[in-house]
Amino acid sequence: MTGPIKALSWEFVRRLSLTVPLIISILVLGPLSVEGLFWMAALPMGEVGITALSWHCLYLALGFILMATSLVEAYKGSYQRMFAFPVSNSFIASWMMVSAILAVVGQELLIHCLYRFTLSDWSMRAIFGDDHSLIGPCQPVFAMAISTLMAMYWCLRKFSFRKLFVCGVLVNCLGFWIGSHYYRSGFLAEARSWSTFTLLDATVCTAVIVTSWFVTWRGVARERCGDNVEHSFEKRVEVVTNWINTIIFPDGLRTHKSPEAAIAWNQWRHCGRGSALASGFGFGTLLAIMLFSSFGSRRDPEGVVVILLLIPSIVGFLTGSILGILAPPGSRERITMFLATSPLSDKRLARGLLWNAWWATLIAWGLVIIFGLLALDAAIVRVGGSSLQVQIDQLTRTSHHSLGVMILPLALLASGVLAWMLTATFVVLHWTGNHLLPLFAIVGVLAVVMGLSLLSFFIDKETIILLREGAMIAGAAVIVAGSLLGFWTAFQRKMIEPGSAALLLSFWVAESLLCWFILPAQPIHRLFLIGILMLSVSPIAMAPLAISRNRHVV
Amino acid sequence: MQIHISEADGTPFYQQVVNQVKFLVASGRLEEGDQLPPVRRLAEQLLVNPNTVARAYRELESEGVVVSRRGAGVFVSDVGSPLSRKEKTRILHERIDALLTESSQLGVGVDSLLKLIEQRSQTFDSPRGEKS
Amino acid sequence: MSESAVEIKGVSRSFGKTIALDEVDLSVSKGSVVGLVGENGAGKTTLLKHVLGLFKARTGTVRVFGKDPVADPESVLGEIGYLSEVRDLPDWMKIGELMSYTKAFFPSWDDAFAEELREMFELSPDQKVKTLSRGQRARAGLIAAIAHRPQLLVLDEPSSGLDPVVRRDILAAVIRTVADEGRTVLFSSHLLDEVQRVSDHVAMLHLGKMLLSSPMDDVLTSHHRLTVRFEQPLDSPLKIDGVLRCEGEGREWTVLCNGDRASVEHCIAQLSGELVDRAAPTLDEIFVARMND
Repeated sequence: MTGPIKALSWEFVRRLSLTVPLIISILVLGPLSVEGLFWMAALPMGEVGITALSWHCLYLALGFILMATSLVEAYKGSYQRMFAFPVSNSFIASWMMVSAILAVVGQELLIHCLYRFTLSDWSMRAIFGDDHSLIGPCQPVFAMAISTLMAMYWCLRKFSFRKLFVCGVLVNCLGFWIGSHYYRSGFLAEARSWSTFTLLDATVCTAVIVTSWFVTWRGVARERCGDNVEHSFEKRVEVVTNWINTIIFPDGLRTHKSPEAAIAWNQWRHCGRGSALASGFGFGTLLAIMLFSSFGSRRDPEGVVVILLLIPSIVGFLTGSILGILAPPGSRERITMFLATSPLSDKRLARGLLWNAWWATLIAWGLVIIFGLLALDAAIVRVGGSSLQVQIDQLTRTSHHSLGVMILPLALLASGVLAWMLTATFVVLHWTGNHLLPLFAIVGVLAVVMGLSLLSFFIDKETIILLREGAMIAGAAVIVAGSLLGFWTAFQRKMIEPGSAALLLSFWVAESLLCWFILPAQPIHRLFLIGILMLSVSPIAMAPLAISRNRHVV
Repeated sequence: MQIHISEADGTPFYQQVVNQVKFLVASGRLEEGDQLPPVRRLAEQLLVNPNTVARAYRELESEGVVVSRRGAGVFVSDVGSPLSRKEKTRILHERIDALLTESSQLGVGVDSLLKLIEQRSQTFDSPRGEKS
Repeated sequence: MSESAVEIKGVSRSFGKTIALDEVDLSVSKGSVVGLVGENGAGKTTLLKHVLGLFKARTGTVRVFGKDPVADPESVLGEIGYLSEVRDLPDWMKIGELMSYTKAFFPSWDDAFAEELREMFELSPDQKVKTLSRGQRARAGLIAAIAHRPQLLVLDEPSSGLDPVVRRDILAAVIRTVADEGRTVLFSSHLLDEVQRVSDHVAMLHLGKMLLSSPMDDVLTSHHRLTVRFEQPLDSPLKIDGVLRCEGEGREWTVLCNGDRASVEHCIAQLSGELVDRAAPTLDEIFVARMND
């Protein structure tokens, strides 16, 4: 049995070799950017009262979701071939389950180690709470969750609504069981962390895993003899999506207004609407839960601001990473022949693609914000009017908020700009055809931040502040200079009209003025922000250049 | 009009078309005044380059087998009978040449070959003779 | 020159250490059908990608209707209909959607013609590309490639892996395209009988080099296949100038030669060989002989 295990493990590792580092960098970058945000807005770290629990749940859940999605993809690509191997059904089921559990749990442990290594103790406490319980009962619980997920997948491969209902009920029961460990004194009371893992808990987890294995085994056996095909989930889902398409989404049979509109329609139907709706609903729900559960603690407004800025940035990053991929993953092409052979200039092709990115971001961001506002509304009702008054008073009185209540609409605006900025930047980085470029960008930023935080152990505080400021100014200067160069090149190659370039640049100037005169931050931080803000306009000029590089291989 | 061409034949496609049209005329399957299919249709039917068909038609026209009337199409010309006699001889010559080559390689002399032909034609006669 | 549809001069390209194209010249005159043949990896696809502007010529020039396909994709690709083995039609699109999508790019799109093709190919507008068989997919791609009546049809191994019925459809489309005045076809294929049938110019690529580029008739008439019988058994194949390939054993040999037939026959006669048979080879035989030469 070691032969197949070796071969399968090798393939498994190879399939995940790109996604896992990406997931880990996203997860590590998150808390670091929170730290950065606090630090830039000059908020005192220790005093921020976002309840620790929601953060640690957020991180564990995000890691789990990302990992589970990439696992589903990895198995999808390989199980057809696995079925052709001379191995038994139970071997396949066991192998998939064990590898999935190891991947999920291992990833969490690894990230925890990275946190210990990169984050300072006080930010660890601020972000994840006093007992920062990233290690503990979560691991068996997530092992249980991934096996339940796998069992559900294999169970629903032969789809029926009855099964879906049963699965839904069971998942809710499990959720209730997990929740009851956090809300030991009732669901309306404040949550506490789950630190002790009793024998009963262990028994439940084991029982669920064993049952899941059994269901998976049955599902694999069915799939292997082709029993699932007629009742596949995809077919049922297709009926529903077709119905939705006819109601909401633009009809592809109509005459397109222009080639750009056709490109935008193609991309929208291909990946735009999917990513917009998924991230909009997903992160919207997340935002709603976080706002609802944390509202009412002492220093809420800062928390609201941070969450409002952070979640749309994640949405933008994900949207950009998804929409930037112009060829199916795994193919040798960097842009599909279908797109590349469209009889359109690079400029117009880029414009069509940008339209799609813009709409996807707008819709995802809009959904997130709507969810957030609804949750805020519900939270205000729950907390009660008088308490709200207190909060607002507190906000206006706080010394580092000269902005007063204005901070909320400003944060809303900033979150929109941030979402678009990240989408546009990542889309354009991907459109160059070099998918390592965005990875390098992330790793580069990460390396600078990590390097600086590591240096702070060895160098005195003044020097480190000087270094930080130097790095910020240098980063901003590089961005502005690169963007201006991009504008100039695009202009010279007739890929942007002088009018549009002027409009974009004046938009940036307006943003900069707003930033400079309104933000109550240090001048250096404001300069840094102005540099970063360049990224909200320059991708529009750079997109045709990226497409040109991708499409006409030199 | 049924024409079949094959790349294994050893003669160029246009020549195959020319030969077969001539054969059809000679055998009376195409009569004087019959219209040949347009270049494009024949090309699509045979799956060959239209230029090939056009060249074959030009060749046929220069040999006087067909005439092309502007705007109307290509028709079998009215010089039918003398040509068909000449053509019949030509076709038979080709076959006889091939037969002679093969028989000389097999070491069979012309006299024995003639005898063989007579024998065969006697056995052939009874069912075939009535038809023709 | 206005007379040539595609003009490629001195184009070279290498991927790492492998040389895909080496100083390739090719001129496709308007109204002709050019068949591009070569082994797998000979550089055919790379050459066609240069024509489409998906590769920028590192050395040399590529002109399509006198324009640079990289600098001006809009007008060059607008004149081209393109179909390939891997033309990756989006899986999720319906045939009807694919047609109206493609229409958006081509002002010259002919709705009636597209509809006629669709009915001929028995495709329903509601079918998704994902559900199509390979042959149907090729037909859908064909609609998208020819319904705008392109000036130049570029086909990259259009018929590999397809059944004879679909292959016939594709060839018929090629013929229909050239039959319309002045339209040009450039296609690569492994199926040399197809190439021999429909093209009037043949270009042979071998390891990135243009081995041969001449009118089909010249190629076919300048090669001869001779069957020779010697008095004494021959130990090794003949080595005579102009002989591309010599196969056989003992006393009987088949010789494929190029150019001056008389001199080859003279040499054979001197070696006391007797000419048994003489015929014109097919393009397939010429190709194999050339590749092994």
